[in-house]
Amino acid sequence: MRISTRAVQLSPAAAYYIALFLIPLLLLAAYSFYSVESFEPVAKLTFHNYVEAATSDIYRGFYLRTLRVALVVAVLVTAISFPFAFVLNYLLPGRKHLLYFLVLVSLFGGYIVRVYAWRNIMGREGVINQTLIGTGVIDSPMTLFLNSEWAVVVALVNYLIPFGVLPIYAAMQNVPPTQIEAAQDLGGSRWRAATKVVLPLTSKGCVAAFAVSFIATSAEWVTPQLLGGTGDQLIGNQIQHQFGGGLNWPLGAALALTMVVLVVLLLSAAYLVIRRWLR
Amino acid sequence: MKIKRFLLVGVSMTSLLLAGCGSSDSDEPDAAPVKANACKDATVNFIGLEGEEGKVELKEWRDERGMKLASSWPGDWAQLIAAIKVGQPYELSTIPYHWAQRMIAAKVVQPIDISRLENWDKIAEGLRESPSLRGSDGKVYGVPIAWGDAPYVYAPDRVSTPPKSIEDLLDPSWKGRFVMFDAPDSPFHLLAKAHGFDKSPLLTPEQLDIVVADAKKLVKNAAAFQSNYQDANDRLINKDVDLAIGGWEAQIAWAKKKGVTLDFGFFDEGRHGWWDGLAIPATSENVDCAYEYIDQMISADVQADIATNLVSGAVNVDAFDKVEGEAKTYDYSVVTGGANSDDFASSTPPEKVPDGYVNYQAWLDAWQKIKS
Repeated sequence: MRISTRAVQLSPAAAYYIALFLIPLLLLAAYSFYSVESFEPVAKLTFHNYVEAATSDIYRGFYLRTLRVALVVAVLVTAISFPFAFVLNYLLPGRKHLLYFLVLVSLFGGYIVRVYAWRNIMGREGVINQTLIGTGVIDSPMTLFLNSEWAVVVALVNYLIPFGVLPIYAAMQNVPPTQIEAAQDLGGSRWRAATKVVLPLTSKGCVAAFAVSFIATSAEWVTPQLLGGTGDQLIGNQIQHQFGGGLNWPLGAALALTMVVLVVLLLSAAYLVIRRWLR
Repeated sequence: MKIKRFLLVGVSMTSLLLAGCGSSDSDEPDAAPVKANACKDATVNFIGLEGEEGKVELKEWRDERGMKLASSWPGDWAQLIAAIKVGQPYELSTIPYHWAQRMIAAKVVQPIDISRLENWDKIAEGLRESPSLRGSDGKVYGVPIAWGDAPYVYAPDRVSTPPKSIEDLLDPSWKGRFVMFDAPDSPFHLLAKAHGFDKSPLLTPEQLDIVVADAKKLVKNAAAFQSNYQDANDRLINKDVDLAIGGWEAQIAWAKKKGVTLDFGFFDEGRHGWWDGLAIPATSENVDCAYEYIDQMISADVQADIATNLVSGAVNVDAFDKVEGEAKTYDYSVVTGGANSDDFASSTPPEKVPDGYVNYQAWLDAWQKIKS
């Protein structure tokens, strides 16, 4: 049997994805149909975990909260990333490589370090409160910044903006400045050129930015734990709990896969809406 | 055809992996005869909390025997159970009071023959006789090596009148001013006591409903869930909160090192103490050495060192007077059958409860519902 060159070339990547993506996913899927006896997954197949994931009041609340937060974060990341990439690419072309590098540099800082930094910024004695007190806006520290859904959203948007800028910036490389100049020559303002020319032509980048932010937020559990209040946990915290203290891996697997299905459905719907809107 | 073959390969590989990850459903091992100096040149594999394996306190003892200690901490208790379940050999593991019943029910630890421990009778009665370290078969599965009494920790400069009851924290004036652990154990038990449900942690479904109604208010009033004691201290030191439920006396010393004064107190509902112990995992390959090691860990001098280093209570009665530093603050009447001995009981219901009561899983489910 002759092995084609293409198969040989593909084999490292294929082996990587099979070992680290496909097999774990299949394991997760298999576990989601297991039962639990003496806190141990046993191969007594059941749909009960999916029924519970889909019908329980507990998880419905976590799913809805997660989808709401993910939607807000994804919209904000996309809305901030597009003008940022636009300015970078078209208004400051001479410095775009430096600024682009600075965007990447922000990813070098550890994720947990950033979360803790936000705690210091938003805390009772943090930068925001001190600034507001110093400028006389408030008399005493406010506690509404930290331990809230708002804090979770702000930290996630801050963390995910580089992931939003990257695909949009990459998409803009295929839209030459001459097209914008042509739009302006025809009487369009810079704003119209951006929204009517660049935005439709970079829609795939925008969709990618939206999708990456949405997916990343859907799987979040550390940020809500460290910056959220007691009522701000997401479905990720529940999944983590089932694989941890709950000792119910099958239910955790079913919750995770249910979330995957929900995310795929919602992103597909969002993709269709965005494409139609930008057409 | 290619897709079919691809799926077949994937499913086959998954099956193989699942078979490899299967349960280690080990039966109770037979009691082996005691070997003299069983730890000589041995390696003791320990899984559990750092600092509770005698790394410092038994170093000399290990060196004399040419033995090694290999420690690991998997991240949380469920992963500890999983690590033993998949068959990894460990001679010793931590067994904490709030997970003891789950570890016993999951069959990851083996019963301990207390007649093989010379220092067993020196363990304070309140700990030695605690039902929380026994399985439903009445056998002992864990040997306590440290204990505490779970105070609340607060900032006295911001809390002029510390709360007397956990119900005080339901008042709107406490909104956003305290943190708590993300677990029903302590709040449910203390709220049940506040309602006069004296059999707590055994609660009827009706009693649990009443407790849950209060717990909802408590959780809503809390600023956040603390990840651990250090996290709670960070929040207290940064003035983000004024009080932490479920604290540890050691937090006072940690804050002092940063120039911050914290204090601790107890609710009138009780102290609901905790203990951490050592257990012999079902996968132990050197049970004799495990016994020898545990016996050393509960000997008087080693106990005094452990309590001093961990800022916890000593378990050996002969060690009480030898404890030094911050660990001296413990009230030993809690574990010696004194006036407060009722406080030192498990704060969580067992996995199997008498008819008419709810088990720990019901507590966990109710807790998740509160958070949703």
